[in-house]
Amino acid sequence: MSIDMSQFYQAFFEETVEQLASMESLLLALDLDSPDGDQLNAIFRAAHSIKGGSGTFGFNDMTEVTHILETLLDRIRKKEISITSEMVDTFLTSVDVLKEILGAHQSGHIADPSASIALCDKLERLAQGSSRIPVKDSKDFARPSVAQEHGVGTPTLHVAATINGSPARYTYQIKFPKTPAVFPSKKHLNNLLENLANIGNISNKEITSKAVKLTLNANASEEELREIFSYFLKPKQLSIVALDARLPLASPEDQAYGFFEEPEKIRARLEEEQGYGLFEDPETLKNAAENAQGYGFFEDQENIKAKLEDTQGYGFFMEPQEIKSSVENSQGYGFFTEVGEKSQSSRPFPALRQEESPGRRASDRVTAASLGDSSIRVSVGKVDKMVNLVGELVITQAMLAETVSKMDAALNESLINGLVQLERNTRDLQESVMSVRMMPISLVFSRFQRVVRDSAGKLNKKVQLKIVGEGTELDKGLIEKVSDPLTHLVRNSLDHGIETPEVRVAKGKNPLGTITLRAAHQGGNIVIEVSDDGAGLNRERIIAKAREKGIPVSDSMSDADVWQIIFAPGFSTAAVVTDVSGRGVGMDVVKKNIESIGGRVEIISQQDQGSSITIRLPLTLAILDGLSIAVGEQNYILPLSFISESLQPGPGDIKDISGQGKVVQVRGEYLPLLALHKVFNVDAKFTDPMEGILVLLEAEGKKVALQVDELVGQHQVVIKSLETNYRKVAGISGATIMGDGRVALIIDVAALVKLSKQ
Amino acid sequence: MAKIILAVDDSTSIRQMVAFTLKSAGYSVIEAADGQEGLDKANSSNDTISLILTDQNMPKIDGLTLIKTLRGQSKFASTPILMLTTESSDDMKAQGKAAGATGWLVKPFDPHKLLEVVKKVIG
Repeated sequence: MSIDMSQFYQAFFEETVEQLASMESLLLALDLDSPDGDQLNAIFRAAHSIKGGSGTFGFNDMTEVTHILETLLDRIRKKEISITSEMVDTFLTSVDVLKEILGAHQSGHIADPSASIALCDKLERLAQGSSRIPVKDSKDFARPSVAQEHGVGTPTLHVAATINGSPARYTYQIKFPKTPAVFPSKKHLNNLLENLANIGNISNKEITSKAVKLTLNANASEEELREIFSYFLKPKQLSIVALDARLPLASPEDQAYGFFEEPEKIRARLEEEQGYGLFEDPETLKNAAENAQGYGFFEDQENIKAKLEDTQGYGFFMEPQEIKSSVENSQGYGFFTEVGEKSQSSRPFPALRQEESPGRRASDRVTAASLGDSSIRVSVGKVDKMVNLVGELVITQAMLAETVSKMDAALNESLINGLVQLERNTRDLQESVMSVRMMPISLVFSRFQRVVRDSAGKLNKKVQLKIVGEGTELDKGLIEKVSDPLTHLVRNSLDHGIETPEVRVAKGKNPLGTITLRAAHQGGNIVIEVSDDGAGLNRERIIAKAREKGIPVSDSMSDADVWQIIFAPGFSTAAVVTDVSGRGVGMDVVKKNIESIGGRVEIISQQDQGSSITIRLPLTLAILDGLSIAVGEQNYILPLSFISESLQPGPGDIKDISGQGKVVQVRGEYLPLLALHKVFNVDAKFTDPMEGILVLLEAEGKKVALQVDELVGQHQVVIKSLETNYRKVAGISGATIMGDGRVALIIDVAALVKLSKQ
Repeated sequence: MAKIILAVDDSTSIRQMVAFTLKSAGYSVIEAADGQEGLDKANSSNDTISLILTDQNMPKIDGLTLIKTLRGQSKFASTPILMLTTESSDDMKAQGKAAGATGWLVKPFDPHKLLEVVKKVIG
């Protein structure tokens, strides 16, 4: 039976991402002075799980790293050595390196081994620095598995070869068959050749239809070469001849096969290599082994026992007969033998109580936090399809409602009642489907612990990160899009906001700076705030810098207007450009990204008290609260969040300003007046603003009055992308289907406001 | 009726691999993600479980404790139990034997080895 291991890769990738994330957060939460045993256990378990999985699925480069990591962590949790901040730093680097390796495998590549080599060195040094027990050779765990048979992301042994490599180079003459059974496709052979090329130089390559002959110049030992080939070939199919006399003969302990040795050595080697055994008495074991295997060696019984134990990778603690009878028994049939007799051999032993306690609580916490009690993993594609279908259902329901509203209410009472019910059900369904896409913002917030820790260290600042409201949920799509802008903001706060401890003390502040990340629901919005107790924005410096950059400013500008300047492209007030927060390309991008998802950015700042940047986002990207308006025959949707009021202008409210078009006076404020029919060049019922209705819109701090024919009603509309179905249209952000089946365009208010300025 | 195997491992990918392998070979498989779930599912199964495979290092209840607990119940006193473990040390084997395991299988293992062992135990 052949099993394609690649089908389990996705599950492995996902669980490893989770393990790495939990490892990272546990490391960051660790108190170095009195490390929590449960936490240490949980960190150990994460490394241990990754090692097990990567070994099973053949991602040996990950096994290498996690093995050394695990060994060190094991000694720390057993209190053999104490953890240092250098170790935590290195462990965090390990998390990064593992993420990188994993990412490479996910995209079907192999990560550059240089990072993991450096890391392994570092970990080994840490282990030796506080050594009492030498770290076990990592080779033991880089055992090949069947995953490589399939040629998908075949890991190379590059890492192993280089780490263990001796300086001398050896030349091998290698010959192996090229049958379809060995290499089902050319890809497999290329994969193998690639692996070989990674560890050395191939020359004199001869590929015939039956066999491949080549000369390899490499650093690797014969055993390492055989390991590479073991993914593809049976050992006896492979002929490796060392041409160089200096080549060390593969040591008996290393080699996978061979019979010209003393039984003792065979036993020892096989024990090392195979890792399984039987828990039986020597006598029964021997018999069992002979019975079960049907073969034997000319050795003494002791050796046979040990060898069989350890060549198989598994073992039994009772006689096969006994197992069999017990199985028979448990099958619901069997013989009249005493159950007690059978179970005797497997009766629980009272020892090993201490095994239960350590690590249990910490691991509970980790799983509870990362997995929840009962959850299933569903692809985003499936959820999105559901969201889409519900959107269609909402439209269909609206169409039905529209049709029924024209019917006689008395005659069709039960139909109308049923439809009311349908509307309620549809709305509930829509809400619950949308909630599937909702995820806690802690997914984004949690990564900042690391950002703050690393950056504060680089900048010689002392900073703590406070997180409030991390359970606030928002749409998955929004979470992805909000993460980069937030990173910019946090880095800005770290770099430009929080002062160095000396400066803070001189200002009479706590030398430890605080950055607060806060998330909350406010009405139909999510509000995310990044605030710090640092220096605040410097008004003079911003104005000076703006003048330098040719941005129009005046000294009498309000603070709010001055703060807006930092969103100008290419603007940076940093006296020193640091590698933490780039070169001032940040804030305009932040603003653009936030606005692209329908959000707004606001700044509050006070000299020496700190600054706070607030991001307001809609709850979801897929549904919009809109006001439908009519112009002539056309219907449009205005997003409700931009509308401040609607009014019918009185005589004298409208004025013409030469060169700037019409303005309308609203409570003493003159607002530019924009006629929608002129913007989109459609026929309107009313061309005179006095006859139509003005909708006051506010975007990016600017207000305009939009002249329309009439207000139709308020709807929740399902946004359909115009771009994917047609093309991008200036002034339009999307489209939706109305209850009567017609398409209504959704107006891009921000673009419209910009238009009014021209 | 297909023989039922309970597979306990906190790693989803390994559990999937084990379950898939065993199902492909015609066994029926119950999966559990940790020792506690393994214990619950073992106890709530109405059909006879022919073999239990369990990881050692797991949250909530570890493999050794699971084995000891199951061995303490008459229902599972003689059910074959194999430990799946990355630790192949003699110490671990001794602990496994003491806990009442039938045998062990060292990780990483491949599907063929798994089937070889399972067939040896329950046919």
